[in-house]
Amino acid sequence: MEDKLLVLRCKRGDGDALRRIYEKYKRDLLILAVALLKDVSAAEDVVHDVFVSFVQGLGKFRLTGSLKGYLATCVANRARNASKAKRHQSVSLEEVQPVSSGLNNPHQSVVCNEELRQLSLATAELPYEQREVIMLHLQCGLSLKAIANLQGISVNTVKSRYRYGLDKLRAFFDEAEK
Amino acid sequence: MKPEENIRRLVGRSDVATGSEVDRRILVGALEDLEKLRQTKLAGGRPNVWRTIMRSRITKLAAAAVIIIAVLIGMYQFGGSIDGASVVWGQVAERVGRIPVVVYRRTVIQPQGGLGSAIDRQVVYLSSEYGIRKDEYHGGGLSCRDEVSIDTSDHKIRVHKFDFGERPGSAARVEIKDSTQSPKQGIEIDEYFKLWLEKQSAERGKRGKNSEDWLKSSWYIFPAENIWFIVRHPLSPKHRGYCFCKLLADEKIPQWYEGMDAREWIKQALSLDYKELGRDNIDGIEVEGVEIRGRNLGIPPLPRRNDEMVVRFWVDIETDLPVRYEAVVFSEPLGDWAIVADQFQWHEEVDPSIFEPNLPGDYFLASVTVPKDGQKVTIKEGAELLDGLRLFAELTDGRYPSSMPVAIVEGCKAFTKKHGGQTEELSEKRLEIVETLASSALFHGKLVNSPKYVAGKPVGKDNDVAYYGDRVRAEDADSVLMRWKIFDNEYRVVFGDLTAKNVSAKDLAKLESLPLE
Repeated sequence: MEDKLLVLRCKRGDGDALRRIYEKYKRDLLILAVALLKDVSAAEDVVHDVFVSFVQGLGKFRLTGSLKGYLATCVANRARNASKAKRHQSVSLEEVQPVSSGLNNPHQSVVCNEELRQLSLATAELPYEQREVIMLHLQCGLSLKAIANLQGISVNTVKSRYRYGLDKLRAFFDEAEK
Repeated sequence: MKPEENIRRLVGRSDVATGSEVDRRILVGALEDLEKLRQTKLAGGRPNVWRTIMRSRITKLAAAAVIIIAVLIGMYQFGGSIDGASVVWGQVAERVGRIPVVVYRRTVIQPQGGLGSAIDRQVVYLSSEYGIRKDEYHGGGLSCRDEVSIDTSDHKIRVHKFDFGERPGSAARVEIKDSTQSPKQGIEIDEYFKLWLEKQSAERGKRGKNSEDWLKSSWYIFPAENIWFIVRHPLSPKHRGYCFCKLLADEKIPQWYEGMDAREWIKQALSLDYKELGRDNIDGIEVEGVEIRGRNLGIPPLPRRNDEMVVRFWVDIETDLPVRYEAVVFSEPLGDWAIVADQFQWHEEVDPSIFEPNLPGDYFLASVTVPKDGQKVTIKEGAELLDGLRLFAELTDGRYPSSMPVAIVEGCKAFTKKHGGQTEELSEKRLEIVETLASSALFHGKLVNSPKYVAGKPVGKDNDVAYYGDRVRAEDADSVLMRWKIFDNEYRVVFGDLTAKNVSAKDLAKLESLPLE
């Protein structure tokens, strides 16, 4: 309900309301984008584009479910497009920097902690579709049914992707433990 | 460890940090577009001078004067009493009904047993377009009464009421009931409470000598979305919060809401037999009044009762607009009580931001009442619970109270152990700790002691509350520290690291079966 009011205030052009939405969900959205794209600059761009698009669509926007779910869905959609565009480029996991790295300054760029780096390394092993299902479900709390709607596929397919993804991650963690 | 749990842990602990420059970069485009949107709305909508002038009380009054003059001119054009000779009663209800915005002060005076009368002051803003806002102020004049309830359940410390007397800072009378604590502990709590009262008095002093500056709460109703919204401003910052209630689709708006519409009172009163009271003068305005007297009149804002009731209202002879409305009920069992509405402002338009809840950043969401499966259910968010648990963990290097009813006692012991003897500064700090832990324990106590109601009927024995503070520590990030039922198949879960989320009953069973690390 608070989100409904924040959206209402945004519709009236209230910048503070938009900042509050951003502060409330930036962590989830950035983690999702980083884990999907394995690139902090691209993740920042995606979240930026999502907020611009959100404001541009405010006139017709009506919040029917969770705002976090809606924004996470937008991030996933844009990340998927960005990922397709980058498909032919090689991906460097070094782009995902840990907090402890001396290179990083949160004033200059988004800084990820060691766990997020590990998460990105682990999910990088997965096909994009499986990564998306796992992150939307575990990070953003979207139900498998909601993800199915988002991806335009059946719930059973989503469940399969989730299960296959977890199996691959098991192999990754087993290997890492050795 | 299963991979899903591994990933869940990893996800839960993943984090990003952004500085102000990054935040600015991400939001810059969106904020620019939002500003354009605002400018477009202002250009195509209402004059933006409203937004500016409605911020201050003085300019509000000035603005009101301008509006009243404007309405006055309008009234001449609509064919009002141009010569100001007399009120055309047949036109009053119709004229009032055509005005889209009304603002007025509402004073409710009611008996309080043997304690004299309580005065409840409200300012009501009503707009046909935006809904209703009601600001409640601490009553002035006769007495300022308030209620507090510090309930630590098992230890039976309950403080029900106190009375501040006529002016802020005057002696407080405190009533403490049901204390079954040992005398020493009872005295200790009592002293803290006195200190707390002194703080409250100081806070009142800060808020100004005029009692109408002490805003207690603001109520907002959004008829289009069927939502009530309440922002509470108690004196203690620890308890400042807000809550929502969404009505069921077919639920009727409560009677008190309907009773806010002053236009409706006038319409209904004038549909009954009335007696003209002749001419009078109210605050320099020439008025004429009418009186309706009888039993079971059913005129808002009073409920339909068999008690004898007198309604009088006065209308400006120049504008045909009401200036003052009084309704008095003579009730044998309850004592006489009255509602007075005055300081009316009749507007053609209004600043929409008046009807927009102002949520200070440090206010917490206390509860949300929403329809689910055709019934209405209240979800207690538990921000105050988390505040208390967080504070306790800080005092004890990661432990939680062994049980919530003893949170205050254990917290105070931990504080003494950590900080040592008594100084004025420490007493103040200790008082804050008592307050915070009391709110936390009270939240838990309410969950444990209150049966869960759906649509006004109990649907279960309790909220299925479980608390595991005796074995879960702050480092047990994924272990369930506390949980309670919010829907039939859904629970609110607080984890060892004090994150909280809603889970299904099935997931809860899995979570609770996890061994501690």
